Amino acid sequence: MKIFYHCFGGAHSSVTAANIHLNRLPKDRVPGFKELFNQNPFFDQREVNDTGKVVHMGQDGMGNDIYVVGRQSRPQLLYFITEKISEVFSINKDSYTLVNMSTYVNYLMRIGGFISRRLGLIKLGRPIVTWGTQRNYQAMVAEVQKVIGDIKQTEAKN
Amino acid sequence: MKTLILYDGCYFPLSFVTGAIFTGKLPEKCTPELIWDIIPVFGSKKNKNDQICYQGQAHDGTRVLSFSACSGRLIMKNLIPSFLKAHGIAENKFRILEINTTFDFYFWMGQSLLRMSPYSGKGRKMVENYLMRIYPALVNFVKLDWHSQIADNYTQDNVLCKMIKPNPQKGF
Repeated sequence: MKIFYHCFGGAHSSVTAANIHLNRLPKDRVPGFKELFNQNPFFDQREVNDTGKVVHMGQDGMGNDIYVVGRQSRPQLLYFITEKISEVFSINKDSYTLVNMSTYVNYLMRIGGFISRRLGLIKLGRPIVTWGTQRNYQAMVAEVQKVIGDIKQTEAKN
Repeated sequence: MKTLILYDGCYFPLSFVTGAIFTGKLPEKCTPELIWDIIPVFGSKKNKNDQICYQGQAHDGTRVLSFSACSGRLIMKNLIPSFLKAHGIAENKFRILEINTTFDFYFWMGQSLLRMSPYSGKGRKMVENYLMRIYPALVNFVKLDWHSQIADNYTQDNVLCKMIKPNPQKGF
Protein backbone atom coordinates (compact mmCIF):
# COMPACT_ATOMS: atom_id res chain seq x y z
CA MET A 1 0.00 0.00 0.00
CA LYS A 2 1.08 3.57 -0.62
CA ILE A 3 0.51 6.27 1.95
CA PHE A 4 0.66 9.89 0.87
CA TYR A 5 0.96 12.40 3.70
CA HIS A 6 0.06 15.81 2.38
CA CYS A 7 0.09 19.33 3.77
CA PHE A 8 0.47 22.90 2.51
CA GLY A 9 4.11 22.83 1.44
CA GLY A 10 5.05 19.21 2.03
CA ALA A 11 7.92 20.41 4.20
CA HIS A 12 6.92 20.18 7.84
CA SER A 13 3.88 18.32 9.15
CA SER A 14 3.80 15.74 6.36
CA VAL A 15 7.54 15.12 6.59
CA THR A 16 7.30 14.76 10.37
CA ALA A 17 4.37 12.36 10.03
CA ALA A 18 6.26 10.30 7.45
CA ASN A 19 9.30 10.13 9.72
CA ILE A 20 7.10 9.07 12.66
CA HIS A 21 5.56 6.39 10.46
CA LEU A 22 9.00 5.16 9.41
CA ASN A 23 10.17 5.06 13.05
CA ARG A 24 12.78 7.71 12.38
CA LEU A 25 11.12 9.75 15.10
CA PRO A 26 9.87 8.35 18.44
CA LYS A 27 6.21 7.54 19.01
CA ASP A 28 6.31 7.42 22.81
CA ARG A 29 7.75 10.87 23.58
CA VAL A 30 8.12 14.32 22.12
CA PRO A 31 11.56 14.51 20.50
CA GLY A 32 14.01 17.15 21.54
CA PHE A 33 14.49 20.35 19.62
CA LYS A 34 17.67 19.19 17.87
CA GLU A 35 16.18 15.82 17.03
CA LEU A 36 13.31 17.48 15.19
CA PHE A 37 15.38 20.31 13.82
CA ASN A 38 17.80 17.94 12.15
CA GLN A 39 15.34 15.29 11.01
CA ASN A 40 16.12 14.14 7.53
CA PRO A 41 15.31 14.19 4.76
CA PHE A 42 13.29 17.17 3.58
CA PHE A 43 12.24 18.79 6.87
CA ASP A 44 11.92 22.50 6.08
CA GLN A 45 13.83 21.98 2.87
CA ARG A 46 11.33 21.87 0.05
CA GLU A 47 10.84 24.90 -2.15
CA VAL A 48 7.69 26.44 -3.59
CA ASN A 49 8.54 24.93 -6.99
CA ASP A 50 8.33 21.47 -5.44
CA THR A 51 4.60 21.88 -4.79
CA GLY A 52 2.77 18.81 -6.00
CA LYS A 53 5.89 16.70 -6.33
CA VAL A 54 5.39 13.30 -4.75
CA VAL A 55 8.51 12.30 -2.82
CA HIS A 56 9.25 8.80 -1.65
CA MET A 57 10.35 8.81 1.99
CA GLY A 58 10.89 5.11 2.50
CA GLN A 59 9.21 1.80 3.23
CA ASP A 60 7.81 0.86 6.62
CA GLY A 61 8.10 -2.51 8.33
CA MET A 62 4.89 -3.77 6.71
CA GLY A 63 6.11 -3.06 3.19
CA ASN A 64 4.07 0.12 2.72
CA ASP A 65 5.59 2.92 0.70
CA ILE A 66 5.48 6.30 2.40
CA TYR A 67 5.33 9.50 0.38
CA VAL A 68 4.94 13.19 1.12
CA VAL A 69 3.40 15.82 -1.11
CA GLY A 70 2.67 19.52 -0.81
CA ARG A 71 -0.47 20.88 -2.42
CA GLN A 72 -0.74 24.49 -1.21
CA SER A 73 -4.28 25.21 0.02
CA ARG A 74 -5.86 22.90 -2.58
CA PRO A 75 -6.48 19.49 -0.97
CA GLN A 76 -9.55 19.03 -3.16
CA LEU A 77 -7.46 19.42 -6.29
CA LEU A 78 -5.14 16.69 -5.04
CA TYR A 79 -8.11 14.39 -4.42
CA PHE A 80 -9.67 15.08 -7.83
CA ILE A 81 -6.46 14.57 -9.75
CA THR A 82 -5.56 11.33 -7.99
CA GLU A 83 -9.12 10.05 -8.32
CA LYS A 84 -9.35 10.80 -12.04
CA ILE A 85 -5.90 9.46 -12.83
CA SER A 86 -6.66 6.29 -10.89
CA GLU A 87 -9.83 5.80 -12.96
CA VAL A 88 -8.12 6.30 -16.30
CA PHE A 89 -4.99 4.31 -15.52
CA SER A 90 -6.88 1.56 -13.65
CA ILE A 91 -5.05 2.15 -10.40
CA ASN A 92 -6.83 0.44 -7.54
CA LYS A 93 -8.14 3.16 -5.22
CA ASP A 94 -7.60 0.88 -2.24
CA SER A 95 -3.92 0.62 -3.07
CA TYR A 96 -3.20 4.08 -1.73
CA THR A 97 -4.41 6.45 0.92
CA LEU A 98 -4.14 10.22 1.25
CA VAL A 99 -3.64 11.57 4.74
CA ASN A 100 -4.19 15.28 5.32
CA MET A 101 -1.73 16.60 7.90
CA SER A 102 -2.73 20.26 7.58
CA THR A 103 -5.11 19.90 10.49
CA TYR A 104 -2.08 19.48 12.74
CA VAL A 105 -0.41 22.69 11.64
CA ASN A 106 -0.55 25.41 14.28
CA TYR A 107 0.14 29.13 14.00
CA LEU A 108 3.76 28.76 15.02
CA MET A 109 4.35 26.28 12.21
CA ARG A 110 2.58 28.57 9.75
CA ILE A 111 4.58 31.63 10.75
CA GLY A 112 7.86 29.72 10.94
CA GLY A 113 7.21 27.98 7.63
CA PHE A 114 6.39 31.27 5.95
CA ILE A 115 9.53 32.95 7.28
CA SER A 116 11.73 30.03 6.35
CA ARG A 117 10.28 28.88 3.02
CA ARG A 118 8.79 32.04 1.55
CA LEU A 119 11.03 34.74 2.96
CA GLY A 120 14.12 32.55 2.93
CA LEU A 121 15.08 33.49 6.50
CA ILE A 122 15.92 29.93 7.49
CA LYS A 123 17.84 30.80 10.66
CA LEU A 124 14.82 32.60 12.03
CA GLY A 125 12.00 30.49 10.61
CA ARG A 126 13.25 26.95 11.17
CA PRO A 127 13.49 27.17 14.98
CA ILE A 128 9.95 28.61 15.12
CA VAL A 129 8.53 25.86 12.92
CA THR A 130 10.41 23.24 14.95
CA TRP A 131 8.97 24.63 18.18
CA GLY A 132 5.49 24.53 16.65
CA THR A 133 6.02 20.94 15.53
CA GLN A 134 7.01 19.97 19.07
CA ARG A 135 3.78 21.45 20.42
CA ASN A 136 1.61 19.42 18.05
CA TYR A 137 3.78 16.34 17.99
CA GLN A 138 1.50 14.11 20.07
CA ALA A 139 -1.47 14.83 17.82
CA MET A 140 0.61 13.90 14.77
CA VAL A 141 1.68 10.65 16.44
CA ALA A 142 -1.97 9.85 17.18
CA GLU A 143 -2.89 10.43 13.52
CA VAL A 144 -0.05 8.24 12.28
CA GLN A 145 -1.04 5.49 14.74
CA LYS A 146 -4.58 5.74 13.42
CA VAL A 147 -3.35 5.39 9.85
CA ILE A 148 -1.22 2.38 10.77
CA GLY A 149 -4.20 0.82 12.58
CA ASP A 150 -6.44 1.37 9.54
CA ILE A 151 -3.88 -0.25 7.23
CA LYS A 152 -3.58 -3.27 9.50
CA GLN A 153 -7.36 -3.62 9.57
CA THR A 154 -7.60 -3.39 5.78
CA GLU A 155 -4.86 -5.96 5.33
CA ALA A 156 -6.52 -8.28 7.83
CA LYS A 157 -9.78 -8.06 5.86
CA ASN A 158 -8.00 -8.89 2.62
CA MET B 1 -2.51 2.48 -25.46
CA LYS B 2 -1.21 5.96 -24.92
CA THR B 3 -2.86 8.59 -22.75
CA LEU B 4 -2.55 12.25 -23.41
CA ILE B 5 -2.93 14.45 -20.36
CA LEU B 6 -3.58 18.11 -20.99
CA TYR B 7 -3.66 20.75 -18.34
CA ASP B 8 -3.88 24.49 -17.92
CA GLY B 9 -4.07 26.92 -15.04
CA CYS B 10 -7.06 28.85 -16.34
CA TYR B 11 -10.62 29.11 -15.10
CA PHE B 12 -11.84 28.57 -18.65
CA PRO B 13 -10.92 25.00 -19.65
CA LEU B 14 -8.61 25.63 -22.60
CA SER B 15 -7.16 22.15 -22.27
CA PHE B 16 -10.65 20.70 -22.65
CA VAL B 17 -11.14 22.66 -25.88
CA THR B 18 -7.76 21.45 -27.16
CA GLY B 19 -8.65 17.90 -26.20
CA ALA B 20 -11.97 18.22 -28.03
CA ILE B 21 -10.14 19.31 -31.18
CA PHE B 22 -7.86 16.31 -30.83
CA THR B 23 -10.70 13.85 -30.36
CA GLY B 24 -12.59 15.39 -33.28
CA LYS B 25 -15.49 16.74 -31.24
CA LEU B 26 -14.68 20.24 -32.43
CA PRO B 27 -14.06 20.95 -36.13
CA GLU B 28 -11.25 23.04 -37.58
CA LYS B 29 -13.68 25.83 -38.33
CA CYS B 30 -15.78 26.38 -35.28
CA THR B 31 -18.31 28.74 -33.75
CA PRO B 32 -18.24 29.99 -30.16
CA GLU B 33 -21.63 28.37 -29.56
CA LEU B 34 -20.23 24.98 -30.43
CA ILE B 35 -17.49 25.42 -27.85
CA TRP B 36 -19.90 26.54 -25.15
CA ASP B 37 -22.09 23.55 -25.95
CA ILE B 38 -19.38 21.02 -25.28
CA ILE B 39 -17.51 22.45 -22.31
CA PRO B 40 -18.49 21.13 -18.88
CA VAL B 41 -20.61 23.18 -16.49
CA PHE B 42 -18.70 25.83 -14.60
CA GLY B 43 -18.44 25.94 -10.85
CA SER B 44 -20.20 22.77 -9.78
CA LYS B 45 -20.48 22.56 -6.00
CA LYS B 46 -18.11 19.67 -5.70
CA ASN B 47 -15.01 21.02 -7.34
CA LYS B 48 -15.71 24.74 -7.66
CA ASN B 49 -13.25 25.96 -10.27
CA ASP B 50 -11.48 22.74 -11.07
CA GLN B 51 -12.50 20.82 -14.14
CA ILE B 52 -11.14 17.39 -14.70
CA CYS B 53 -12.50 15.42 -17.60
CA TYR B 54 -11.85 12.21 -19.40
CA GLN B 55 -12.62 13.11 -22.99
CA GLY B 56 -12.62 9.70 -24.58
CA GLN B 57 -10.43 8.34 -27.33
CA ALA B 58 -9.07 9.97 -30.44
CA HIS B 59 -9.05 8.29 -33.87
CA ASP B 60 -5.70 6.64 -33.21
CA GLY B 61 -6.86 5.22 -29.87
CA THR B 62 -5.08 7.79 -27.75
CA ARG B 63 -7.04 8.50 -24.60
CA VAL B 64 -7.41 12.16 -23.72
CA LEU B 65 -7.67 13.51 -20.21
CA SER B 66 -7.88 17.22 -19.48
CA PHE B 67 -7.35 19.15 -16.27
CA SER B 68 -8.21 22.79 -15.73
CA ALA B 69 -7.61 24.29 -12.34
CA CYS B 70 -7.40 27.99 -11.71
CA SER B 71 -4.00 28.70 -10.12
CA GLY B 72 -3.31 24.99 -9.91
CA ARG B 73 -0.79 24.83 -12.74
CA LEU B 74 2.24 24.05 -10.59
CA ILE B 75 0.46 21.37 -8.59
CA MET B 76 -0.70 19.63 -11.77
CA LYS B 77 2.66 19.97 -13.45
CA ASN B 78 4.44 18.21 -10.60
CA LEU B 79 1.75 15.95 -9.21
CA ILE B 80 0.56 14.13 -12.32
CA PRO B 81 3.90 12.68 -13.48
CA SER B 82 5.19 11.96 -9.98
CA PHE B 83 1.95 10.27 -8.91
CA LEU B 84 1.99 8.08 -12.01
CA LYS B 85 5.66 7.28 -11.44
CA ALA B 86 4.90 6.32 -7.83
CA HIS B 87 2.38 3.81 -9.15
CA GLY B 88 4.85 2.36 -11.62
CA ILE B 89 3.16 3.62 -14.79
CA ALA B 90 5.78 3.57 -17.51
CA GLU B 91 6.70 6.94 -18.95
CA ASN B 92 5.99 5.84 -22.49
CA LYS B 93 2.34 5.18 -21.57
CA PHE B 94 1.42 8.81 -21.21
CA ARG B 95 2.35 12.25 -22.40
CA ILE B 96 1.62 15.41 -20.47
CA LEU B 97 1.17 18.73 -22.20
CA GLU B 98 0.65 22.08 -20.62
CA ILE B 99 -1.50 24.49 -22.56
CA ASN B 100 0.07 27.77 -21.74
CA THR B 101 -1.20 30.97 -23.29
CA THR B 102 0.32 34.40 -23.42
CA PHE B 103 -1.28 36.73 -20.92
CA ASP B 104 -4.28 38.55 -22.30
CA PHE B 105 -6.03 41.10 -20.14
CA TYR B 106 -9.46 40.63 -21.73
CA PHE B 107 -9.28 36.86 -21.38
CA TRP B 108 -8.28 37.22 -17.75
CA MET B 109 -11.05 39.77 -17.15
CA GLY B 110 -13.57 37.62 -19.04
CA GLN B 111 -12.77 34.62 -16.88
CA SER B 112 -13.17 36.71 -13.74
CA LEU B 113 -16.53 38.05 -14.90
CA LEU B 114 -17.74 34.55 -15.78
CA ARG B 115 -17.74 33.76 -12.08
CA MET B 116 -20.02 36.66 -11.25
CA SER B 117 -23.48 35.76 -12.39
CA PRO B 118 -24.72 39.31 -13.14
CA TYR B 119 -21.74 39.93 -15.42
CA SER B 120 -21.26 36.45 -16.81
CA GLY B 121 -22.72 37.51 -20.18
CA LYS B 122 -20.09 40.20 -20.57
CA GLY B 123 -17.41 37.77 -19.44
CA ARG B 124 -18.60 35.22 -21.95
CA LYS B 125 -18.23 37.76 -24.76
CA MET B 126 -14.68 38.60 -23.68
CA VAL B 127 -13.70 34.95 -23.48
CA GLU B 128 -15.28 34.31 -26.88
CA ASN B 129 -13.27 37.13 -28.45
CA TYR B 130 -10.08 35.64 -27.10
CA LEU B 131 -11.08 32.14 -28.21
CA MET B 132 -11.71 33.43 -31.71
CA ARG B 133 -8.14 34.66 -31.85
CA ILE B 134 -6.60 31.61 -30.26
CA TYR B 135 -8.59 28.82 -31.92
CA PRO B 136 -6.50 28.61 -35.13
CA ALA B 137 -3.36 28.35 -33.01
CA LEU B 138 -4.91 25.50 -31.04
CA VAL B 139 -5.91 23.70 -34.26
CA ASN B 140 -2.40 24.16 -35.66
CA PHE B 141 -0.97 22.88 -32.42
CA VAL B 142 -3.08 19.75 -32.62
CA LYS B 143 -2.47 19.19 -36.33
CA LEU B 144 1.21 19.99 -36.62
CA ASP B 145 2.86 19.42 -33.30
CA TRP B 146 0.88 16.89 -31.44
CA HIS B 147 1.57 13.72 -33.30
CA SER B 148 5.30 14.12 -33.05
CA GLN B 149 5.10 15.07 -29.40
CA ILE B 150 3.11 12.04 -28.35
CA ALA B 151 5.07 9.62 -30.49
CA ASP B 152 6.65 6.70 -28.64
CA ASN B 153 10.15 7.68 -29.63
CA TYR B 154 9.83 11.24 -28.38
CA THR B 155 12.59 11.44 -25.85
CA GLN B 156 12.30 14.88 -24.30
CA ASP B 157 11.03 15.62 -20.81
CA ASN B 158 7.65 14.04 -20.23
CA VAL B 159 5.98 17.30 -19.27
CA LEU B 160 5.93 19.60 -22.24
CA CYS B 161 4.88 23.19 -22.16
CA LYS B 162 3.38 24.59 -25.31
CA MET B 163 3.06 28.34 -25.51
CA ILE B 164 -0.03 29.18 -27.53
CA LYS B 165 0.06 32.62 -29.07
CA PRO B 166 -3.16 34.17 -30.28
CA ASN B 167 -3.59 34.83 -33.94
CA PRO B 168 -4.26 38.51 -34.68
CA GLN B 169 -6.85 37.45 -37.27
CA LYS B 170 -10.17 36.06 -36.22
CA GLY B 171 -10.30 32.35 -36.57
CA PHE B 172 -13.96 31.54 -36.77
